Amino acid sequence: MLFLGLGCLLLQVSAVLGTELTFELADNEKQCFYEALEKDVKFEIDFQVIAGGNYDVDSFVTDPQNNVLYNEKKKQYDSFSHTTTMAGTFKVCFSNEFSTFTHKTVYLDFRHGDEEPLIQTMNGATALTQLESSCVAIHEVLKVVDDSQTWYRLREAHDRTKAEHLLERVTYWSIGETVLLFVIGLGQVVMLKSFFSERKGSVAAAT
Amino acid sequence: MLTLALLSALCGLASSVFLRVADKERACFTENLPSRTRLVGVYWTRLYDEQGYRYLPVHPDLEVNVLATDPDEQVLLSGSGGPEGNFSFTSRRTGNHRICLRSNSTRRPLVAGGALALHLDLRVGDRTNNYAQIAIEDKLTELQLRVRRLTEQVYHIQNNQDYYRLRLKEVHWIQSSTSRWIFWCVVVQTLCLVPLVAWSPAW
Repeated sequence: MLFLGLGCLLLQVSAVLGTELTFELADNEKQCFYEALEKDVKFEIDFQVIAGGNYDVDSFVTDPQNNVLYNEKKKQYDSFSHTTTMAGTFKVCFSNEFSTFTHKTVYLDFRHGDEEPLIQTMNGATALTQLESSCVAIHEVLKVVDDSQTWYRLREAHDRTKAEHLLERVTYWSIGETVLLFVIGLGQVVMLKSFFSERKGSVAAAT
Repeated sequence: MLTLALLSALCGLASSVFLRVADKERACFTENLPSRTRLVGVYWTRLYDEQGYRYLPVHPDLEVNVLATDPDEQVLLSGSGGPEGNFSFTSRRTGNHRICLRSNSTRRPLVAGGALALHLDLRVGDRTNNYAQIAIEDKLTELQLRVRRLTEQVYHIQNNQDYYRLRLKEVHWIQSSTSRWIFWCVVVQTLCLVPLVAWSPAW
């Protein structure tokens, strides 16, 4: 029992060390995210603007000494990868300060380090059997499928938002233009009619 | 024993992105979830002392309010926890779910010149599974645990496929509505214009 209890303390959850967050950036707002990292750790940042305005955002990444590692303006999506040269808190910021009234929705995926083993006893000290190797290979492929699905889900959200805006604009435009056309057409006919009826009246008066 | 496993699991998730929030400031996030998908959120807080450039532990009196709403603005989860905690819910509908966290230090105000560092880890679908706990509860060998993880992954992928199919149907409907509007607009305008042009000389 005690052994099992102690064993539990050693067990760690499988952790693809990464965080995915989707947040809203109001106009003229800046939002920063921080991550404490050790030296010589490779991290990757993927971001995508999924809604709002021109679907673009400013972003920059700084290291613990405030050196700029990445700085891009008005990007719709991008990927940035870096291996840390010092330990400390790294910062990634997104800015919508160039926009006066559009809110942006941004997706961020911050990944670092390698995947931890499923349970601590699987630390790779012993060779894997063929069956275990197959399981690992399938797991890696399924991870790629999962990442692709996330990518397509975001593109779909982006396209759907654009399609919804288009439908809204087309609806208002078509109703407005039809009404305007009707009013202008009728107005023109009435006006022309009034010119001729005045003329008839003045001709009749002259004779 | 299970508590120990849970505690160790929480420690295992010690590395995550954090953001600085002021006291009583809301931090909101959106998660686009298919239906019947589990979301687990783990958060913990520290105090950032801007003068000393260091992180300090937070007073246990600090409350963090968590609010989760579904795409129809119905509340799925609403509660308060201490400076550290976790929350979870299962989505009933497909769509954008909103998760908001707000710190509330009613008893003791935060140190002047300090902001709260809020660590948050949101996990969806098969990544919510605590495989260590599953191995203990179901008494699985290593190989069985690996296969179990693959099963969970495939289930999650299948769920995502169904969700994607549904979303595609919605986009098709939106696009066909757009073309219908344009078509009927042109037809109605023609029907208005032709009589006007044809009969205006007569008037």
